[in-house]
Amino acid sequence: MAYVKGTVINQIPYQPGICATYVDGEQQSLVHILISSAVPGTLVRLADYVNHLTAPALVVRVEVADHVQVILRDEWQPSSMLGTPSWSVHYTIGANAHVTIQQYQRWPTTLSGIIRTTIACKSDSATEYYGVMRGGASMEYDMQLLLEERASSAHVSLVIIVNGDQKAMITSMQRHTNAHTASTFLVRGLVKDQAYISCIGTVHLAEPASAANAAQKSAFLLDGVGARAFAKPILEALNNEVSCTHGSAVGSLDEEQMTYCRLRGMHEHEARTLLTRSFLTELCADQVTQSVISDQLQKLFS
Amino acid sequence: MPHPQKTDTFFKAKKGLNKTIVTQLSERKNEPGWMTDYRLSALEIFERLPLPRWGADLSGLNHNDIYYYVQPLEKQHTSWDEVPDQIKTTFEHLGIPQAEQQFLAGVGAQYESEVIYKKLKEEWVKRGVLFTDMSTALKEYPELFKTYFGTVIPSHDNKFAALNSAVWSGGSFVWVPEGVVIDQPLQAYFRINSMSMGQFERTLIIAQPSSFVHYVEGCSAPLYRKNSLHSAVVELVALPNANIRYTTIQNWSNNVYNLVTKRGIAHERARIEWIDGNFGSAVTMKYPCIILKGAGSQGQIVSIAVASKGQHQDTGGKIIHLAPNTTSNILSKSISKQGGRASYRGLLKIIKGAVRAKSRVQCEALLLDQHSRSDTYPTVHIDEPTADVGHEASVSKLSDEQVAYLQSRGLSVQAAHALIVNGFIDVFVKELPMEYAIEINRLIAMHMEGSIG
Repeated sequence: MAYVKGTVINQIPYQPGICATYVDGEQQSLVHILISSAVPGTLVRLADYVNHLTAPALVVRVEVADHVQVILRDEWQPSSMLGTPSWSVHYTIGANAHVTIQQYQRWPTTLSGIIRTTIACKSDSATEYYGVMRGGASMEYDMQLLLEERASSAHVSLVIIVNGDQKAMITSMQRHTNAHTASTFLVRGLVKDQAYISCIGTVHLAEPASAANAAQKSAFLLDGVGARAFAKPILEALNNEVSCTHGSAVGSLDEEQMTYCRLRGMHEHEARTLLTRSFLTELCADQVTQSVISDQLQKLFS
Repeated sequence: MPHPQKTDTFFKAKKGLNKTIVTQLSERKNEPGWMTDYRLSALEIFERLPLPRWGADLSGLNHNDIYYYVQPLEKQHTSWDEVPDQIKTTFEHLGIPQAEQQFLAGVGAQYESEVIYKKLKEEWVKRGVLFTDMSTALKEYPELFKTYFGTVIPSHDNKFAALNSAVWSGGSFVWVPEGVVIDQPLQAYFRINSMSMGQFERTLIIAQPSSFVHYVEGCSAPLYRKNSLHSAVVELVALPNANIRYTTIQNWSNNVYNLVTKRGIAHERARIEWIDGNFGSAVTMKYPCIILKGAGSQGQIVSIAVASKGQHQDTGGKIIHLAPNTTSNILSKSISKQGGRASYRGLLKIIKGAVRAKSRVQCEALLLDQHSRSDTYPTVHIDEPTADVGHEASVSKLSDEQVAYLQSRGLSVQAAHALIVNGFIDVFVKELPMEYAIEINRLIAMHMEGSIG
């Protein structure tokens, strides 16, 4: 890794049980956050550890120790209007740890960038990820779920909202290389105006992944005369002791449902907002994420 | 699987492919100049295009070790009684009962690259239906032939379409006049019967407005030491309100590279169906395609692939919606066993303007052991916001619960497994004519022997 500037290594002990170090560079900064202990339910905001960094490219490594239960919230906003910002977070989830990741990012309409998220799971760990992404002229989202150790699980629920001429390209990989692992990757997208969304998702079940369970589903709602979608759900199963499904759906708002809402006295705008919200939040069990989605929709439709 | 039959050949070109062989082939067939030029132009395209970098491994295919044209000794026959016993024996091995053979509406049997037997019911002839081999059609209906030949799959479509365009030989030509409904399926059996012989049949079916035709082809091949190549091209044209159903059961020997291009164009309110069963072969790459060109047209692809030891079945389907109110459906099932690999590769594309287009794609894979592999590589490309599209895929093994249930009802483990597999492919078998349903049951039974339990 080459740094134009920055041999400064700092430590930021903002919260007990959490240790963060960073190397700040002009083009790229590297942050390492180690969560060695936490009271169950502790909320850790990644922004607190990175907001002082100004490089357009940030690489964050979050390490959660064994048996830790924690909520990690990622609301990073690109601070530079130059170049193509990239935001890479690599989570390592310790054995028996239980982690909830909430990633809410809204990028300026004029900015293009890359968001990479990698979740590597150790044995018997459970990770739930809820993401809401909006904005960016042309955004790439890359999600890697690495189920490398026995009985680990990772469940992802991602919502993407694009409008105007925005583009969102999602790639995902659910790589199961050990037995009794489980993963789901659920993505829902709202594509308005002339926006474009694509999702290329791969589920790979290697030979040692006996009794693995994997699911991948993408559903996109097209709400605009020029809205477009592309989906390529790939499935590779090299073991027969697995349960594996994938699916993708593309469609517009159901006219019957719209009529039903209108008949009950709702304005078209209200009906559209209601149906869109129910579509986007349907698979999201996290209350905080649901309110973020509602908030984003309100801003979008107002 | 049928046993090999010794056959004397009438003419066999040298191995390999070059302009001389293509010209020689065209001259022997006494073809018009435009077809010779077409073949030579396709040969240039074939030589220019690289092998596909995706899909199955084709590195074992040696184009210089293949006979590209073999013409049989036997001449074409018009009556069943005139068919040599040797050929009849081949049909026996294919498992067609004599009574059903007599019942068949018309049979064109592809034997060593030539159609040697064909029969069409008299009433169909009276109604203007044309069912003949492609070479005859080129001679007898040149204008009709030239109007449609290569319009659905041009020679530059892909490397193997170019190869077929250069050396095509045999295959069926079907033309159904307006309003004519053919109740019974037209059937043709194809067979490779010479070591390392490539088989490049070309089939063209044109259904005039409001007509209906069901064409059935089945393939089997004896086992040879050297690799064989089967590279067919099938073109379908369904004019407004017409309906074409094309059923295939391919059962190639385990040394055959089966690289086929199949495509149909459906005009206004027309319907095209591909029913496709793939057994055997070393490598199969086949993705039947339907272009829904006319408003209200429909397409359906139902397929099954069985991949055994050393086999890679890379199959799937493509549907392209170009017009409003078009609907399509793809159902793909695969079984992988003894280390075999089955891949589904599909494309669903809806262009802007194809308003209210609807499509459903469903892939189901059954893995019978730890060493086998199943993949799905679908692509969904939607440029029309009013489209309604769904894709689903699943991979599973034989359910222990179902096996236990059947065992509790007195079935052996082997019988329970076979019953579950039969249930898995039942949706496909139901789409077949009765005699093919029987044949596929035999094939499945044969494939299941020793693979489970």
